[in-house]
Amino acid sequence: MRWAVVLMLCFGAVGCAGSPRHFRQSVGPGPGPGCVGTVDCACKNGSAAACEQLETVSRPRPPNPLPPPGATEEARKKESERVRETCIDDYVRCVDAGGEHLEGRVNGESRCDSCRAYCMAHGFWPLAIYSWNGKPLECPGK
Amino acid sequence: MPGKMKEGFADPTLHDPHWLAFVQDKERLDVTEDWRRFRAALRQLERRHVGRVPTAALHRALDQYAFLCATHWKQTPRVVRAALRALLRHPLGTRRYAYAAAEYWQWAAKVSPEDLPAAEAMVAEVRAYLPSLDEHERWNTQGLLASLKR
Repeated sequence: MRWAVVLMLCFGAVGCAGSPRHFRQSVGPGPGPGCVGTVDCACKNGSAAACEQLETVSRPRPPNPLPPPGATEEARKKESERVRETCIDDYVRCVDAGGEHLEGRVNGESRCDSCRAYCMAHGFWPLAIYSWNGKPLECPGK
Repeated sequence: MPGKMKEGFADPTLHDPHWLAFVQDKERLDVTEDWRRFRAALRQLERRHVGRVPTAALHRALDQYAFLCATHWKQTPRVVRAALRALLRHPLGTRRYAYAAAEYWQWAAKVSPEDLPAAEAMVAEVRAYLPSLDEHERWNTQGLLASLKR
């Protein structure tokens, strides 16, 4: 009698689940019948979260607003090179105008050096810079 | 040439010993928040150097110095407007005019919002003459205008 019950249970289980392959498909990680993936299956079985996840995955990505890597760096290098060149031009004009005879902002620095430092930091040659105590110090130029 | 701006002239170079002496003397002036004392010091400075350096350049340099000090020291609207009026009477040229406009705008933005429309009109004049400048000066002026912030 006990053997009969065990046999019935065994055959019953195989009969419910079908072939071993079908068994793996139903409970394992792969998609179920008629689905392209587990999330798809879950969506088809009525899971709103899974459907939302599917929609997010299939939605086209917005274009990347950032330029390709390296392009910004290139532009930045170009710009700083332009600043450096223009500041040097103005520095030469400053020296030509005799700006080396005037004291700079810092002890031991000439006026043209201080004005060039300002130019490099701010991107333009100023008419004047200010000393620590608020005195305008003219930057000789064109 | 914009309305308020007259064609400028170049200062003597600092290789001229009289001009160098004037500039060094000007930069040695005692800075004081007391505007009357500061103006008196400028008048003494003028008396020490008049006749040794070109008069037009001397007066323009003194008025420019007074204006830059007035805006930088955040003086009252009365003081800054008077200093600006005095400065604009001189032939400034594009570089000095742009700088005066920028300084006036910075001061107005921080100290006297009622002066902002006048300052913005000056800045607009500078923007209008930008295309007529040579590449180098345009680059410097654009940098100056870009640096303006409230």
